[in-house]
Amino acid sequence: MKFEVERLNNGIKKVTLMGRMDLKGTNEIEMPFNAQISTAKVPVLVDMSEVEFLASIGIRLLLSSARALSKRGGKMAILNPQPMVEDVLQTAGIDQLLEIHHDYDEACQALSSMVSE
Amino acid sequence: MYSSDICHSHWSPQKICLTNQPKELEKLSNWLNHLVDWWEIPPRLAFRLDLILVEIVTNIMEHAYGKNSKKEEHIIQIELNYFDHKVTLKIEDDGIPFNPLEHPELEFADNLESAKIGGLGIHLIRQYSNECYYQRIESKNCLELVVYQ
Repeated sequence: MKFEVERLNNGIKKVTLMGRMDLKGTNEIEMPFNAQISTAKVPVLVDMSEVEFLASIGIRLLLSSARALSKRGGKMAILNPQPMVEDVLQTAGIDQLLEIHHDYDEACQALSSMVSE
Repeated sequence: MYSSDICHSHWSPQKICLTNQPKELEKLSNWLNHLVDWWEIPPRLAFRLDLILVEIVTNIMEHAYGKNSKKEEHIIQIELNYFDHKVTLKIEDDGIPFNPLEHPELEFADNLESAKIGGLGIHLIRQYSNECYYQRIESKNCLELVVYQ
């Protein structure tokens, strides 16, 4: 598994995850992903459109990094999960804890309200 | 590639044995992908099977063998059968007794701070399977799950 980081013009950090978010995939990205999120002083948009599989260990990574970010006043949102991955997020109740967006502009709008605060 | 693991009869139950090492999850994933192609299992059902198997096997590897789990080698046996639009999964391990059906229901949090990090795997196994049976037989955990198409 891998990810790419992009700093958007609107101040949001976009992290694009790619691959299978199972035990092996999550272990591969856990430390650098956490480092990216926990050092962020800006909102983070996690693009999951290229994640083809998500297990509980992957959800734990999303939750723990979102919690670390939230403790420092930041916010994380999820963009464009594939239907079956979104179903896992909903079944695990994550959609109640993190915003899931299917529209890029809408996601940026929801997050960028924080940048100006 | 998996001819030695797969019986010749197309619709007979298929078996695989894994050790309790995390690298075995890749072997499991390749085996399942092969069966999904062979049996032409629809993508949505294939995803659910993938998730259930990954959660069960990860749970066994992490919790069934106590503190010495990394040192001692144990065998996890998995049998899968696709018949009449249903997949039956049988998983056996020789770890400490654990009945996932008796595990408390996951309590959903309404905010990130109080969200629990553990217990998600068992919740997903129960939610993504349609029938679930557990028996402790001769010092083995025997879990049987049925997943409808």
